[in-house]
Amino acid sequence: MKQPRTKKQIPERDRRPVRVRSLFVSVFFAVLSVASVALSNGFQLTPVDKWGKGKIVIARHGKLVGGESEGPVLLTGDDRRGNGWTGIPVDEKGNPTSSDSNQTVVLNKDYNKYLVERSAITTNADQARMMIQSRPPAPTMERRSRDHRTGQGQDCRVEINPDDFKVTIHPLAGASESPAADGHSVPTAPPGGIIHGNGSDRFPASAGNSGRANGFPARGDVIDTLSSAAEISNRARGINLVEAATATRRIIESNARSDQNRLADAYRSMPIQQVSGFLSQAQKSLEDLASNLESTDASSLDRSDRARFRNLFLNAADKAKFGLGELEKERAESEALKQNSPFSNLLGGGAGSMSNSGRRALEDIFKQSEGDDQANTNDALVNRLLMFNGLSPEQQRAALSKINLKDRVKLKLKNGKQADFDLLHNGYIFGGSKTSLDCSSFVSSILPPDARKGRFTTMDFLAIWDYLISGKFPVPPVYEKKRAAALREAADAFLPLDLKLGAELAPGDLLVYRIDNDPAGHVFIVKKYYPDRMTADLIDMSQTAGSVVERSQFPLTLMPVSSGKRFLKPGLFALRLKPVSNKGCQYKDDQKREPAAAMPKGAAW
Amino acid sequence: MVIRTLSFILLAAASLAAVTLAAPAPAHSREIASLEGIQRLKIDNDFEKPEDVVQYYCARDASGFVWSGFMDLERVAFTTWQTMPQFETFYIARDYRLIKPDQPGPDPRFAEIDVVYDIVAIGDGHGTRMPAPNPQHRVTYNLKLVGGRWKIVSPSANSLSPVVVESKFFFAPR
Repeated sequence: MKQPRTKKQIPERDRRPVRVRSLFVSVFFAVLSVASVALSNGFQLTPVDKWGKGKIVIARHGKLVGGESEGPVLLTGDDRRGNGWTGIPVDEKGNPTSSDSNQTVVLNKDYNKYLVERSAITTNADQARMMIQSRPPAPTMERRSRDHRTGQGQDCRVEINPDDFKVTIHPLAGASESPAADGHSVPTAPPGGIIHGNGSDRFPASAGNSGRANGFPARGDVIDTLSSAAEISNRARGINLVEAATATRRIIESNARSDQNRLADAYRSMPIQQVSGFLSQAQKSLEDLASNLESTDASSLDRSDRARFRNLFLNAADKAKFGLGELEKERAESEALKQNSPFSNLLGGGAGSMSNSGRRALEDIFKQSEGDDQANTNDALVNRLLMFNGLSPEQQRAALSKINLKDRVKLKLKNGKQADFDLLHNGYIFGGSKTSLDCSSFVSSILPPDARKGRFTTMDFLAIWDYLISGKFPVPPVYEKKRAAALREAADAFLPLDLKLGAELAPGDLLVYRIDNDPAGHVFIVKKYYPDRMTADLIDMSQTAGSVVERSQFPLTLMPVSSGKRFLKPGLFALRLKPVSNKGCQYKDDQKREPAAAMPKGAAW
Repeated sequence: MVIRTLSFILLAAASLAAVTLAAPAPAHSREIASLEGIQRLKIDNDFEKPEDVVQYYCARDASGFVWSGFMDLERVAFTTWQTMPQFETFYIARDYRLIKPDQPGPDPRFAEIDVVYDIVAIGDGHGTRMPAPNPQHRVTYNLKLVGGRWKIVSPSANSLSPVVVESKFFFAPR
């Protein structure tokens, strides 16, 4: 039997292909292994690939702020509230060491200690790991640091080298330095702008800052005078916004009721036999409209409104179908009864009538909410859509001339056909071109949850707030380009309020609740704020009732008044509408004041 | 040499298969047939089993109706809620499944059904998308027999976030 050759027996030239093949195999499997691990991590790698580098930053407090360290902290990114970073305690390998985690690191003026407060972004180590992978830190951040106990603070610029994650902290300009020395423009108070309190919390008396202008007027009486005048002006504007928002809502309800009555007129004296025809027509028409909204390529309605109205059309079509079913059932029972009874001529009550049970069944189908007869609810709108789409084209044209809440929608289908139609709605329908509104309408459109779906959600407001605070559009979330552009334009209407740094709410402000990793969100308009108690009287709008709800003494903190440090409830932030016309909205009574001075993006009120 | 080559081919094939399985599923085609797969409105609660009520609710939710378009008639027929859900954003799921308990509870008037969703992201009607905190979202529905009909008691309308399914809600961000 032939013996296999040993290595020594194999000539060199024959061994070379084996070595090359082995090398290729090793490299190949190494690449495959990395790819497999990358693609099959227990959570979602897609966000990391899409939005970030996926690197984990580990920094000791000694390196970050100097002084003693309590152990390494894994930075998960900036906390989106303007205070610093979120981080969780980790071991040397970067694994979270505590399930009760995620603390906000706040830099104080001396940078040798840090203040830590709990953040409710996550309390779960697995969740924290997910956030780490999806939120790498920004390379440069400008931060205000403030000691909550003493009110002292210092602006600083924090740089993170994206290659080695080395952190460098630069204190920003002091009294003797030119504002432009380090390239950072200093905030100036806009004419008629907002200054809170007596200004002392805005001008920290730290060493080296005494007497500096910092762009603001000098201390003393001038500030107090400006504060008073500015505050009075803004309070009045804010109160006007609150009143306008509630008034707008009442007007819409009144218009919706009027529309409802006009449409109902066409059906009031209609014989039952004709109702079937109208319901059948309505069902077909509404199904076609819903189908068109799904297969449209371009429309004057934006995507979210198309989704909303598709659902409404389908609901209305289904209601029409149920109505038809009841009428058919009624007809069949009536026929059966007539055949079996000697009094067939008397039964059925003659042409055009319905039995009591049949009438009750129809009432059940077409009634609105139980105990609520508001005309601007979704249920009422579904009934109006049904009634309108059951009419003939001539009847629809006649009705449209008297209907208040309507819009002509342009639809281009994917097959190239145009399928424009008349849309009835509950107010706040904004076509693609209607971006600049009256500011009162703008605020009014923010309150109702249903209107927010088509306009700006709380996720958008959080992005606007982050953008105004940091100067950068946050990623995630991932926006379509057109949407991101719309948000940037809308951001011009607002000033961000940093409640954690002591900014106080005023009438007309928007108080927003939004937690990053949760779909829940809500918007309130501030009616009155009680700074000593950290509570507020708020205006809310309920989707169910379609009306305004007032909440008194809404607490912004869970901590008692006696507590020294009173942290804001997680998820709360605030935006203030600018007091002058801007790209986002216009004031009808604009007295042509000078536009607000350009605020550097890092400034917070 | 033949054995080595065959081994190499087998291992390469196995690795390619592993990578393919681990790879994320391709984005769902936008060419969904209109209105197919959408759970349509019911106004009469004629379900005999509690899981059928939950199935209906989840199917409506998956089609986007809890996010926008949940009718008050449905609230009254299928839940004991006093308010309507009010969410502008929603979870986006790939799929979901109902989990019935192995044994009925001590009280035949009450039932508990779990639903587990495979979550992809959080989104809104404008196409905006956020990563979700967890790839799985579990909801425990508690139902009660009211007037001979099973109705959802909890979670409440304010705490039950909408969950749409990519393949059933055409407008979900991709």
